[in-house]
Amino acid sequence: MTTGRTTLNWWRVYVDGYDMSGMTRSFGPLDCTFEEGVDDALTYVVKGTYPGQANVQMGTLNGIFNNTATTGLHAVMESGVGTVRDVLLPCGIQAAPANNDPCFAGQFEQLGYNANDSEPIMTVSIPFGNTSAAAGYLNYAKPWGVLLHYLSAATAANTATGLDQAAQSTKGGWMMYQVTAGNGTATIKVQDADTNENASFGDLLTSGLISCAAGVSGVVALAPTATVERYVRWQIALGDATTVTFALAFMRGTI
Amino acid sequence: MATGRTPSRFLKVQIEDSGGVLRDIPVRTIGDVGLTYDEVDLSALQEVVKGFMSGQANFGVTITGPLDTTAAQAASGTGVVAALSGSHTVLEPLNGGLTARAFAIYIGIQAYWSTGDPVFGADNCVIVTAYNAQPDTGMYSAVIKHVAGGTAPDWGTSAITVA
Repeated sequence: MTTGRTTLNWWRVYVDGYDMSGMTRSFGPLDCTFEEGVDDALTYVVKGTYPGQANVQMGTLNGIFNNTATTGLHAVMESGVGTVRDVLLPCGIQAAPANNDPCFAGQFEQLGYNANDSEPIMTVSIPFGNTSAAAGYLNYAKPWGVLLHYLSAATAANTATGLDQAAQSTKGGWMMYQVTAGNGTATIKVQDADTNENASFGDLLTSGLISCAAGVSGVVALAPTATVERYVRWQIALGDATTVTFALAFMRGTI
Repeated sequence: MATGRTPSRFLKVQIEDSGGVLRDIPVRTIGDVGLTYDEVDLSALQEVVKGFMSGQANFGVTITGPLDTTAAQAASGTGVVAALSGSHTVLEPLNGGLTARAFAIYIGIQAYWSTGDPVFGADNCVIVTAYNAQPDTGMYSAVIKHVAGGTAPDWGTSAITVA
């Protein structure tokens, strides 16, 4: 992975297990704003602020109209108004997203689907709401995490070392997986370890045994006071699948 | 140090990161820097001119700048260019946190800030209440507010440090 600044073309868009990057023009703003409680007690010279609940949203997805069967933007999204979508937005830094790049994730309700002919090419705009009340991670305010496994095929268990996230924490975390292809069952996991060697890693979060094919995604959350060790990595336990193409993000709890 | 006017390119912004270390962060806009006091109308009907007094002060800034994941760097000192850490690296972990952080806006006068030039901020002073990314422009925005019970920010001429 690279670090530094980047441009829109290195972001990717995964929705409900479909890679929409090749049909997306823009999205955002990616917003995480805390309500502000004002503490203006008489004795304060300067008024103070306490952060309250967070509002998280991903804005509107603007794309190219595409009715390719099964995976096209139109095919996936046109009938989905009111559906809670698993959305993962990896941010590649001056290159396609790589492991440890930042990503924005959440479960947002699709609020519309609008085709538009205002340009010589047909376009669509798809507004999303704030975090869904049905989201599986409501004990976590923050949508930012890192990509543990960039979208690619896995055909065997991971024996590599993990990503160094600086220190152990005790504020839990959650994962989102997006499976875009597969040929059977498998279990997708986040593992953690206090020393960065293969033998030290143990399961932290698991999808459970899932049938892996295009259009499979999900969120699994820890208790908000769970301990997460310093090092984290992706893992897969193949069932009867021999190959699974997936992206996996982990959002460590920080507040 | 010099005195007089200055271009904004000599401005530096530092904030204490989640590990308790000051970092320079990249900014493009800051907006108004300073305290604004509530104005309380204490007029009586019989007076021809309304009379006011200042009440409590407010402090908050919304900063914008390039979204950047550069690893954290040691903050710059007096008389040198900012040593920029990544904005995402520093600000995103602070968003929503309750711990008071040091914050400083340094205004170098016709040169990189050095002791004696104006600075606004304080140790144990602020929290971050919003962090937003705008992928199509490559920019972020963040809201920095004075934390309840924290040290009041003020103008000074000495470097602000983490105690």
